Formats: sequence, structure tokens, C-alpha cells
Amino acid sequence: MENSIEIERLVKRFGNFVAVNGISLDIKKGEVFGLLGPNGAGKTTTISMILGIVKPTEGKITINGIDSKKETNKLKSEINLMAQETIIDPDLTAKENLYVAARLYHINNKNINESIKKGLEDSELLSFANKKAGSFSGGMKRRLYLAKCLINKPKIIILDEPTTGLDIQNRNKLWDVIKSLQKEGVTTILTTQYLEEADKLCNRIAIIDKGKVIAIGTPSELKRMVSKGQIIEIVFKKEDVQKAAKILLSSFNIKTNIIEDRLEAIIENDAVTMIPKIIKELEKFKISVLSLSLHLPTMDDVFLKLTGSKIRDSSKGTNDEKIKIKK
Amino acid sequence: MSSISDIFTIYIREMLIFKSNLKSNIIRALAFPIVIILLFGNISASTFESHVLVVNYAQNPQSYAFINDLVQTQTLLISNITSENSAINQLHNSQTSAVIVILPGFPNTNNNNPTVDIYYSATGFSAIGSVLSTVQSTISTLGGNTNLAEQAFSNQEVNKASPVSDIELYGASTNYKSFLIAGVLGLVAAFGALFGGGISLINDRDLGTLKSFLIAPINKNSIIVGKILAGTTQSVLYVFLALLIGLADGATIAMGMLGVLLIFVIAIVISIGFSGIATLMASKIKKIEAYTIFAFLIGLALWFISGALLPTTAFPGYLNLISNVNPLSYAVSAIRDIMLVGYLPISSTIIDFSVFGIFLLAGILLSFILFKKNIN
Repeated sequence: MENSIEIERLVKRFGNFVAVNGISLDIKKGEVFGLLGPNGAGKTTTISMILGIVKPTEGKITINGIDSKKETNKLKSEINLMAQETIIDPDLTAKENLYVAARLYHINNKNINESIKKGLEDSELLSFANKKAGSFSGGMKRRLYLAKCLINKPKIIILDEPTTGLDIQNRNKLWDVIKSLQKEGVTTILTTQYLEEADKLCNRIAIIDKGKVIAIGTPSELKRMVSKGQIIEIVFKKEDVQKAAKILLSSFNIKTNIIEDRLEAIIENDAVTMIPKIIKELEKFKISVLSLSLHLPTMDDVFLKLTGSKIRDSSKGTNDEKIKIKK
Repeated sequence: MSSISDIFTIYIREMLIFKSNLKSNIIRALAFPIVIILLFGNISASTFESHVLVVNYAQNPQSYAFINDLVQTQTLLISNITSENSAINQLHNSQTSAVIVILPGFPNTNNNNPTVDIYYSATGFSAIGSVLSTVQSTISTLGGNTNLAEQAFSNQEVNKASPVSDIELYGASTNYKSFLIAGVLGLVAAFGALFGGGISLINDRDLGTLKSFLIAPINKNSIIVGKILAGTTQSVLYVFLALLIGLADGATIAMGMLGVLLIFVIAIVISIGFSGIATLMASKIKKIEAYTIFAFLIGLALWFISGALLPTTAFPGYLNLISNVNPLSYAVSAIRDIMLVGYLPISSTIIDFSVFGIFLLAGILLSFILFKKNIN
């Protein structure tokens, strides 16, 4: 598959601070590429360099075969960004918002009305076209913003935490949009705090930490990097937890993590057949299992293992947001 | 070509935002000036000590006695000056209330020619009345000249051949309100730019709009140019409305339609210049609340010392000094010439427009440089 974006040994220094420290990446045409990393890892700086609003200290970015240092305006007209914050003019109507966006991307007078109409239809705001955007609900504002970002029919779209703060309905709609963009051959770069979102949507994911790519691959490749086995979680009565942990270690040589009333462990081989054996063994000691689950490692586990922090620990989000992430 | 279209895009966006809050924008821009016109416009300024320059061509004992008598009245602040031209210039620049020229041959008046010329610019507020009556009563004490003295103060006796032959327009038919409205127009233009461009820049930075401009395939400079143009358009509109209110309130424009056009030109210059100050402040101040306080402080301070409320003659020396480097002073004095005198005196026009040129250039350069710094 052809590469849409090629990043070679990209470095960005701000004074003594190295924000991006030699990142090399290839992003293929039409793929949804996830860019994950704790806050301050260098995601935003990398994105800003792709967008051409920050100049790299060293390295090279090639977009659709063109060096990003040259023909900046031509490249800019083929890329768009949907930022974390909803960037719309609250004093303008939905229609005026799209009109200004269309003019910014030099959409000619012939097509401008058509583009605006399509934007309003896609964002389901046709009947609110002449209402001030400031009066819209959060979801409507976000949809209008997305329509603004797609007005230039970008070949590459960068979505920076696009679903933060969205309700489930709007989030699912946005996921559908991302999938349909992919069908149209649009290359998507996605950053998100929701690891399951990255897992679900991305063809490939790069994990960035301290300005470097520390892992890159498909979600399942990354998960296999963490562990070939599966993760078991068993819930007990709180007084039984310590004892159960000892039994698992002595009888099955399974090292466990104790989290309150819960044990977490990785079972390398034959996890499914192990389960009845574990339950039987525990019953011998009169320890009852309240609940048990078995799953493949999640992106959460990948993230934790590679960066040493849970994404929610590193996020600056409010408590509300953190709760949402935990869900 | 595309840059012009980009500038127009930004301009359209700013104007659409302006239009969407039209009512509150206009109320905000005009409420303060209206209050000033209504409240200050009606105060009497007669309590100010009137400064008068005396040019003594006669140089005879009678003339000295006359000047001495004027000093003795203690209502006038008399200064002697040898050059009539420089005295008239000071009058134009609002540095004095009146100029008394004692003609050779004073106090003899064989052929009914005037023996004293009085130029007064005191802007119509009642101070000039006290100047005239003081001079008149002083002359009458010289005896035998009472009749002639009265003639000397009739309108015909003002020296019409002099370079300020229309000088009577300065005071004869106007009042403090007209004097003030010229100053208020300067305020409206300056505040229009301070509260238009600067706030929109801070807002755009806060809301992320600036970012969405920067990632679009447009020329970066077109952003600031579009903003300045939109801010200037709004300022001119405010000035136009303030002028209408002024005219409805009894002010006149001696220069007529050409004067209106010139007032707009001055408003454009002031607005662009103040856009530079607005960009300077907006690049340093992150919060709109703080910006508003600073903009008010700087805008009001510059306005007060521009001679918009009082003639700069009322200022102590250090304020006069600041007033001389304040671009708004020149705008206010030029608008006043347009509205009250009816033409722009050559000498002060050259100074006024040189100051405007420098201010305009500084405003544009400041905006460009700081905006560029800001977005990097």
C-alpha cells in the first residue's frame, strides 16, 4: 500500500527541551493510524509539524510524495485537523461557520453552496442552518465542527481526541464517520485517551513516549507484545484474597497482583482449561470465587506495560473525565 | 490575488461576527461617548482662567497702561509675545484662548480703523465672553475711546484679511458641546479599534480559531490585515453614528461634506494606529478582563490628555509635553479645525498628517511583527 505520510527522524527542540526526539513513521494511504502516548509525549508537537504550523528542528516529513517544507499551502489544502476543543464561531450561524471555512480552503464560488449544503446535511444541522452555533448543544457543536473540518474534502484528517466529552450516541456517530472516511480512502490519524476506541478503530497504532516511538503495530500485534497468554481476574471476599494468592502461587506457580478484593494474573498457556482446575483447588481450601473473567490483554495493558503509566494517570482530565475513562 | 481573497475571507468573518452582535456592539461603542456629550457638553467652562497672548505693536505708554490694566483684572493670564504669527499658531493649537494685537497708533482712531484686533479661538465656551468683556471694560477706562472700543469688538472689526479670517467661527456661534464632540469622535475611533481588534485576537487565541486559520492554506499576514480592516470599518461606522448624534445635538461641520470625508480619513488613521496598540496589548495580555482594564486605562488616558475635554492650555507643563507626543491630540485638533474653523491651517496640517503617517506606519508594523511573534 502506498504511503500517505512518511516521517523521517523528526526532531523538535524548544530551547533545551526535546519535545520530539527522532520519530520515524510511515502512515499508509487510507488507514486509520492511532497515535497514543501520555501527555507531554510529543503527540501534539508531531501533529503540529505534520500540519505545517510548527517547523521541525531536524528530519523530514513527506506527505503524498511532497516534501512538507515546499508547497505548504498545497499540502495544507489537502489536510485538516479536528482539534480537541470545538473550534466554531459561536456568534455565527451554522451556515456562516461553514461558509467561512469553505472560503478559508479556497472552495470556488460555484461549489461553495453545494459544499455548505452537504456539510449541513452530513452534520444533520440542515434545519438549524440559520441558528447561531453558540445556542447548539455540545453534540451539535461537535458535529458542526466536524463538518467544518471535512469541508475541504481532506485526503488526510487528523482527529485529536475527537470523542472526549461526547455522549455515547454522538461518539458512535463519529466512529461511523471515521469508518466511512476510510472507505473513501481518507487517511486518518487519531489520538485518543480511550484505548478501547483506538483498539476498535485503528488499523495500526504507534505508542509515543518522551518524544520517541516505543512501539508500533496493529492492535493485536501490540497486545501480543505484552503477553502471549490471557489475563485472568478473580474476585473473592476480601478476607480470602491473600490466602488465594498464596494457593495460586504454590499450586500453579501463577504470580498474581492483589487489587483490593481482586486478583489479576497472566496465564501463559491453556488459560481456558486452567479455570476449572483453579476453582477446584480453591474450593478445597473453602475459598469461594465470587466472579471470574478471562480476557486477552487490552490496549490498557499494552499502554501500562510500555509507558509505565495508565493513560488516565497521565491525563490532565477532570475527575469526571477520569470516571468516564474507567467505565 | 489569493491573498486578497484571504484578507476578504477574514474580513467577512469579522464583519459577520460584528453583525451578529450589532446592537450590543453599537451600544457599547456609543454609550460612553453619549454620556460624555450629555453630561460634559453642558458644563460651563467659565471658571477656567483664560490665557491670553498680547502682541504689542504700539509700544507706547498707553498700550503699556492697557496691558497693565488687563493684568490687574486678575481674570486673565496675560503673556507678551512679539510675533503675531506664532501667537496665531498657538491659538490654532489650543495653547491659548485669545490673541490681542495692539495696533500701531493705539489708542488714536482717526479714521475708524480698529486699534485692537482680537483673535479668539476659545472654542466658544463662556471663557471668551469674560475675555471680551474684560478687555472692553479695560479699554473704556482709558477714557475718550469708549465708542471706538465698542466698535473694535464688533464682528466687522475682527481682522478679516489675516490668515485666520474665519476665526470668529471658532467661538462666535458655537458652544462647548461642539468643542467636545470633535474630541469625542477621536475617542470613538480609538476605542473602536482597542475594543474591536484586540479582543477578537484574544478570543481567537482562546477559542482555537487562530489555530484553524493557521492550518488553512492562507497567507498568515492576511489574518491580521483582515482583522485591522474589519476593526477600522467598525470604527468608522461608530464615528459616523457619533457624528450624527453630535449633529443632532447642535454641532456643525464648518467644512461641509469634504469635512465629513476628512473626519473619516482621520478616523481610519487613528483606528489603524490603535490596532497596533491593541495588538501589542493582546500579545502580552492573555485574559480579556485584564485586557479591558488596560485598554480603558490607556485609551482614556490618551484621550484626556489629547485636549478633547479641555483646551491643552489648561494643562500643566508636563501634561502638555505628553499631549504633544500623543497622536490623539493631533487627531482631535484636526477634527476641531474641520468642524469649527472650516479649513485646515497649513502649518498645523503638515504636523498633524506627519504624526498620522508615523502613527499609521507604527500601527501597521507593530501589528504585523507582534502577530507573527504571537502565532509562533
